[in-house]
Amino acid sequence: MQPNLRPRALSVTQLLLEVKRRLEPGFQDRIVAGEVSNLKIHSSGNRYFSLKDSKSQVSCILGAKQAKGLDFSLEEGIRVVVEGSLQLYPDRGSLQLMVRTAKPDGLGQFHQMFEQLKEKLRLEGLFEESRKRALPYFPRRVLLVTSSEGAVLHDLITTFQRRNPCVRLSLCPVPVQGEEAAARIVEAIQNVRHHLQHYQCLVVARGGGSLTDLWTFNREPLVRYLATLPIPFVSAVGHETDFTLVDFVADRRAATPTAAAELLSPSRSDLLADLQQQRKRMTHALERKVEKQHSLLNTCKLVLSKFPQTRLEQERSLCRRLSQQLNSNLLNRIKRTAQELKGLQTALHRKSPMALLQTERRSLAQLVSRLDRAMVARQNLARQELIALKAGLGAMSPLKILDRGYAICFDESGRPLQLAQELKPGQRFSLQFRDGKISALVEESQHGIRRDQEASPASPETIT
Amino acid sequence: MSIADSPSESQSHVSGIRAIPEETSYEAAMSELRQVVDKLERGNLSLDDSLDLYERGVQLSQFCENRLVVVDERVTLLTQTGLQVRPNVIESAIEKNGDRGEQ
Repeated sequence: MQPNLRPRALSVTQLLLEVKRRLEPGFQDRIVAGEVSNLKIHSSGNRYFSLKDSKSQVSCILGAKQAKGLDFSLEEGIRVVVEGSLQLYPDRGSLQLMVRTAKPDGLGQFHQMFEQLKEKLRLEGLFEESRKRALPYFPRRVLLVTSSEGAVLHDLITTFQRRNPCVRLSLCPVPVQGEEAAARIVEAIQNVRHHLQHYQCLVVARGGGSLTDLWTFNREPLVRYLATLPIPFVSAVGHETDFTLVDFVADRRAATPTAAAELLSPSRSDLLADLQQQRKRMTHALERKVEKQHSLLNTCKLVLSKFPQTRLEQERSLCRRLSQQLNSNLLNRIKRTAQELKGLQTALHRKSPMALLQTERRSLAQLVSRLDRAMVARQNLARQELIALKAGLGAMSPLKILDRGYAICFDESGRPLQLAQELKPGQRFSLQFRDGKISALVEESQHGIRRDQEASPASPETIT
Repeated sequence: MSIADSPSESQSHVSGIRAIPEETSYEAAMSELRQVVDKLERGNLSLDDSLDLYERGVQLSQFCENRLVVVDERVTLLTQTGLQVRPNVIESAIEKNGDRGEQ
């Protein structure tokens, strides 16, 4: 074989420049899928790696700036889809794909990105429990950040209005999927940021969807922005089992929009019932207090009533009452007795023998006067008898005898003597004459002879 | 927190009972109300203190009741241009959902 063709020989540089000239324009902004290998991160932040498939590989470079703009970070072995331009470097004779942007390839890659970012943010502490604020129990105003179309807004509003229409709602409408959504959400909230102070809570909500649909809520800028909200926010993105990074950074995650609304709207009827119950308890407590004071007061009154003055007054009035009773009783009895007496008197009077008595009295008077007269008469008689007797007696008086000249003989003791034998010679005796008395002595006594034995027996001789 | 002194907010008519600020949370007011009721029920206060406490309780319960009054059910729209009241957003949402058959 004879290389009889002797085309003009190119230099290496010329060759490569030629290739470069023809190659590069056709391979601007081409999209290539492959696996990352031999990843090296330069100190400058540039990433150097090979993008390969089962048979081939191509060197790639991803600038630091471009790397920052990615949703994920390149890792050894992950499948990516890159967009870039081929570059030929004559000095090294190598081909390099200048990667402008890259995306994880396939669903698995989404998960990878998700896990990567999640870990990154977790390490930064954005998911810490301590960061999470308590939700208001009964917010006055809630800001809903969601699409103005769709069932989500409807569910939120109806749930709030059903449970507690006193929670005032505002809507900040945003797109909830698509490339631009994350940025738009940030923008929308940022535009009304100064209004946020008037709200007690914010709800970020989106209905269910695929991972791609929900990807907006895994975007780092959005997640980071929501972490800076000045008020607590609830995330209700996707269905029960879907978790997005916004869920992790939220102060509270709700499984559904309805659940979010329920979290923020305490049942109005429950609240009213609770309030009424407190009111009742309060009123009853005060009533009981007042009652207690009343009974205390009564107890004091009772104690006070035992005081002497009170007691005394009570006794006094009791006494008065009893004495009144007594008086009235007594009066009654007296009255009755008086009446009885009067009755008896009348009866007696009716039966009294006054007339008879009068007669008797008169008879008596008569008798008395008769008695008096009789007595007087008898006295007179007796007096006369006495006079007569006296006269007679006088006539018989021994003293009369004296008048007739006799003398009476008395012994020393004054006893009259009748017999001469009674006197002994020498014995003193007296003789009573009519004109006086003499005392004499016996000279001699002769007795047994009576001088008057010749005298008449008829003359009274008894001298006593 | 500023002290509200508009007559409609202030509940005090006796010296010593301070008004409840508008910003007070419902929870805080109810919590205080429960405390007041507990104290009253325990019953070992003087009658004067009981009356003062009761009055505070009435004030608190009035505040809470006011919060439970439904003033306006409409949903407002908050955008860059500010807060606007729009006809009930539910209705427009229902309209848009109508053909999807959602309720």
